[in-house]
Amino acid sequence: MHRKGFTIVELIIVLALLGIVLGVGYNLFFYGENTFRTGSSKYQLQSDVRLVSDFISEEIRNAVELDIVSLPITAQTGYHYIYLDGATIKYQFNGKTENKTNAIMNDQAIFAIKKDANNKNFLKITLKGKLNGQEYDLATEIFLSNISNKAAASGKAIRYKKP
Amino acid sequence: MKTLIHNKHGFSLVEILVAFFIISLLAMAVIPALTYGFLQIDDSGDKSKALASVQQSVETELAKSTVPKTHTVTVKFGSTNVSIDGVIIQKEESYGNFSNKVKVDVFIPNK
Repeated sequence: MHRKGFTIVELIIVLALLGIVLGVGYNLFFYGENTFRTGSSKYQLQSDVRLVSDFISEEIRNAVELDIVSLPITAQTGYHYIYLDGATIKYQFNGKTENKTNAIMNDQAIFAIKKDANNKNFLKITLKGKLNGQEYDLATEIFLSNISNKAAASGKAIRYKKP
Repeated sequence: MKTLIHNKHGFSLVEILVAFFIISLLAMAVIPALTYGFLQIDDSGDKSKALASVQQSVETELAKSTVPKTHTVTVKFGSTNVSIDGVIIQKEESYGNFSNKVKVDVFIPNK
């Protein structure tokens, strides 16, 4: 071996080793990349669902009037609206519409008015989100302290008045 | 002085293989760090779910028309003391992979 260069065997070994190293490196890189992507999808999904659930709770808790309405909504003055438009939860008041989530929600009835044995009303919120193959769902009930004896109903949109 | 590499012309195949082996051990130590992030995110998701469910049971308590009077809260407005009778309820729920708990304490005044 030696002055003239590498033998074919040496060359093959080098190529094989290089192949292994690059293959492993490439896989590791994409593994990291995928992990990051999945992680941020999960994070975004969760924070969207949680934030909108908090927002609805805060808004609804002291409502003095609350109805399930059908879509598309016909805005009346003085009323607030929260509704599921396709995959986005929106909030409307005084002609202004705000997106409260990204387009991640499952198209389903998210609101349900419930009535217990003492005619007390609750609003059940069921939120299911999906983003890049990740799923997250959150459900809770809010006691409507200023409303009572309202019949059970469910739907994608609510109309309410604040005190 | 003894040197680790005797061959002045380069590394031997065995040395390279040993180096690879060590590097791959280190790389394998890093992989769990990536998946651990997942666990944490899933865990915080479970925490939100548990909190929502605890909130729901607190709301059910709030809806009750009468509560026992086990606690009194006194609020001072200047020289006037206002006492309110009510009950303190505790709701808790465990969640996730690390057996954590969320706990909520609420004072409910008697109506």
